Amino acid sequence: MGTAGQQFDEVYARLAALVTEQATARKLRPPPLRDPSVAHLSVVDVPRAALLAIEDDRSFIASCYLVLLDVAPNTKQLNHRLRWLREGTRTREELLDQILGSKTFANSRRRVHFT
Amino acid sequence: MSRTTVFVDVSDLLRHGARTGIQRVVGQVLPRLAAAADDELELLMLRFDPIEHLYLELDTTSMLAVLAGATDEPEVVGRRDIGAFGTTDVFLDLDSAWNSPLKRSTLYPRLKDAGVTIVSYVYDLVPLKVPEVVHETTSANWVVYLSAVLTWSDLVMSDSRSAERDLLDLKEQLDVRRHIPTLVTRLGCDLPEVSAPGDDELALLEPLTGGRFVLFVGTIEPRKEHLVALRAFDEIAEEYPDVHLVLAGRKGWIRDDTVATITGHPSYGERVHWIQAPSDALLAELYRRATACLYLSRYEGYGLPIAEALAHGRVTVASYGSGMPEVGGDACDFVWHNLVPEVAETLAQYLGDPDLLAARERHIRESFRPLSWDTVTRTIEAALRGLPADGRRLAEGRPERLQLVVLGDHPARLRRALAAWGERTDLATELVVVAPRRALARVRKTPTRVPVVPVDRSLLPAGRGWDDPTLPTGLAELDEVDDVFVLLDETHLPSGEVTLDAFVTPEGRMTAYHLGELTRWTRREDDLDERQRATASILGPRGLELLGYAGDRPQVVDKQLLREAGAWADREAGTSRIGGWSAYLDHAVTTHPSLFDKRAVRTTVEPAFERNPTLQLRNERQLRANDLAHGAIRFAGDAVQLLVAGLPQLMTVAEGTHVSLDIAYQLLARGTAAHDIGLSYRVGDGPVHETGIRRRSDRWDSYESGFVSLAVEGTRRGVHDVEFFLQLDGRPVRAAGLRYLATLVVVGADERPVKYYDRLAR
Repeated sequence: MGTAGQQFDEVYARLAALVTEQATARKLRPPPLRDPSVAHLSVVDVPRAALLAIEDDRSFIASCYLVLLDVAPNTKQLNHRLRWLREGTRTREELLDQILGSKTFANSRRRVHFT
Repeated sequence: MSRTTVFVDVSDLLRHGARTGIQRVVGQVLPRLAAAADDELELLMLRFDPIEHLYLELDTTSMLAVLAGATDEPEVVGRRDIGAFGTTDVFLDLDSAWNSPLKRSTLYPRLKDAGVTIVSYVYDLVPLKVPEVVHETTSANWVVYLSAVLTWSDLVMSDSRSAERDLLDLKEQLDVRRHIPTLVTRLGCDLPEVSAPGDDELALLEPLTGGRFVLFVGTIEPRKEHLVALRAFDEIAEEYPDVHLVLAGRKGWIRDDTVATITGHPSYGERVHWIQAPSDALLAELYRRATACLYLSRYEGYGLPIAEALAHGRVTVASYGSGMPEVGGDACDFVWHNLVPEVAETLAQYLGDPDLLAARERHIRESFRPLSWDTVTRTIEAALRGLPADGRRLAEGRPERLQLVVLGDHPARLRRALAAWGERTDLATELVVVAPRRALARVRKTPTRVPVVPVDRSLLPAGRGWDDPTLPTGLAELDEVDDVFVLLDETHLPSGEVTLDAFVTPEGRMTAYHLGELTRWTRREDDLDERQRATASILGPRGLELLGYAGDRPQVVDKQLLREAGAWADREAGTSRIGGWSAYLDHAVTTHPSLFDKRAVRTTVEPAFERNPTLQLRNERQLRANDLAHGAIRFAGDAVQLLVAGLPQLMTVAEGTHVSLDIAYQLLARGTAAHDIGLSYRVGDGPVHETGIRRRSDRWDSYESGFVSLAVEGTRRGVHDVEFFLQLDGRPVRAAGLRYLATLVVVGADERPVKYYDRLAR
């Protein structure tokens, strides 16, 4: 029996595999699982409040892309997300979280370790 | 006594607002928990500051104002490092902590290092059970959270036995060996005090004027079966032209064709209505005016709209799965497979029979006891209060051996029990025999390796709480009995070497062997059955755990906890004849969950039930593909009518095993004559198997509803007809004068059922 930290790693690995398997079986996009010791949202919590406070939806989406992914959204991405916000399909918070959970963000390695 | 501080992280609620039912729980529980503060317990709410990477302590009054919607921002009164907690502190994760920037994989080990007791709430396993309704980022966060819970939590609370079972099954599947204490708190469904809805909202109800309507409250999302509701409505629309379908709930975030199908329905706006985001006032009005309510879902941790509909006295048709049967109990009508014919026929039964509707509504009003948030909070509070002291007790370690207390009155049986337990195990420190004096005289010289202490049963102090002879509460007052002891009766014999682990786990937790959910105690044979049902009716509305315990095996008993349960029963149960074991253990487990290891046991008389999930899945697929399920089947005799729901048209079972059917029934009687009533089945021309529902000697009411379990046996390979019928005073009564036939497919051990299904299709 290892330390609690090792036990966590084992449980996490098994549960992550199970959830991925369930998603794959249902033809869903698998969850963006990453190193659990990394706190994914912390790096953007500094600009998060500022991002959310931007009044105009178009500027908000563009700023999210620039701050989080270091690229400007293309027209399709911009219009797609604008429609979400206008139809209430997703909130700004959810849109932000969606970008944070994206593969592009994961690949950018813009993470921070809390401890 | 040191004061316990319960810390609750409300960061997610403050970040996102009250978006889901979870924030509703937080908003209901925390004000009550704050109000319960005293010299022993206090509540402190925290908000995580991701910039400074520390917790902000929130002023309780201003945070309660946020929860009440009076203000947006709570006042910060202090700052605290995320590891700066003490050994008398409890950290309670009641909010959706998986969304927090402070991952529990970081926080929990810091809390453990500080000696904090961690309590986590698991509402459901939606990301695993129905991942299609969860955003993938949420799933990723949830995996971290749940892994931390399984690694570090000292207690996991859940809202239903189903959620608890799902969690424990997952724990086993992930090979997590440590014991995690659990507590089922259930949820409240207090109806908010509301004024009348405004004119704008009342205008939405105008199209319903003069008609009847079926109401479905719930977010429009794929997990809820709105489209099944819509198709069921189509089935009955022509026969009941005055009936409307009202869907009330906001649109979920997942894009599918549900909304388009609803709004594109030919009767949309005329007989099919969608009220988005109704106010509490309008919702109350809808419940008040509805003829019946629907709640169809593939998976729910709890299913609060079911409780709300029943609390309004409405006939409610809900899915029989996950946590939903626990919420509705026998006051609710269920559909087992979410199939259109089931839903349509169940609704039609009430829409076309005003007497049945009235009888059912009367039963709901009389029997459904909605749980209040006060009660739920008291349950949570009681568990939290005891945790630090219980943790210290566990830290002291477990005893090496235990005293055994033997109840009995038959000298030969007592001698045999004493010899067996005294000679064949190293468990006992001594054997205390509680028996009549004449029996004691004859067992005194039984040869054993441990001392025998005789106690004259007539001198047993009067205990408090119940008069159940299988667990006399007077034992708690007996000097000869240790603080913790194993109680058995003269018929209990060790089948082999019995070790301490059977009663106290290596961590020092006491085992509590139960026989399943108390509210589903379907056996009706003896005094124990009557007591168990009475106990459920006492424990349920008071927010206690609801597992069925009995003295059918030796169980470990704690004197102090027995005393506490006895005093509680004295106050709450009055003269009701309740089951001592269920009352004692459900009370003790609820108030001291970390001291117990609840273990499900199976009785030796049960048949070998079919547990082949692949076979069950294949059967379910056939049922769903061919709509092979109906609403309630009506069996009508001259004096009684029996409505039975849950009888499938197809059952698949492996040869030599049984399939267990959970059947719901309603019994309507005319006149006052008593009858023997049962539900029977016969496979082919084989013998009749009967399950009793009511005996002639039972108290006779004109209406009754409940559940029975029917075990259908697969003895011979092949396809067989199964006929179900009512047994009325020993005579078979067929369904509405016809034979109700189902098909039983019995497959060999390594056989697939497909060839039989093909034969059926031909």
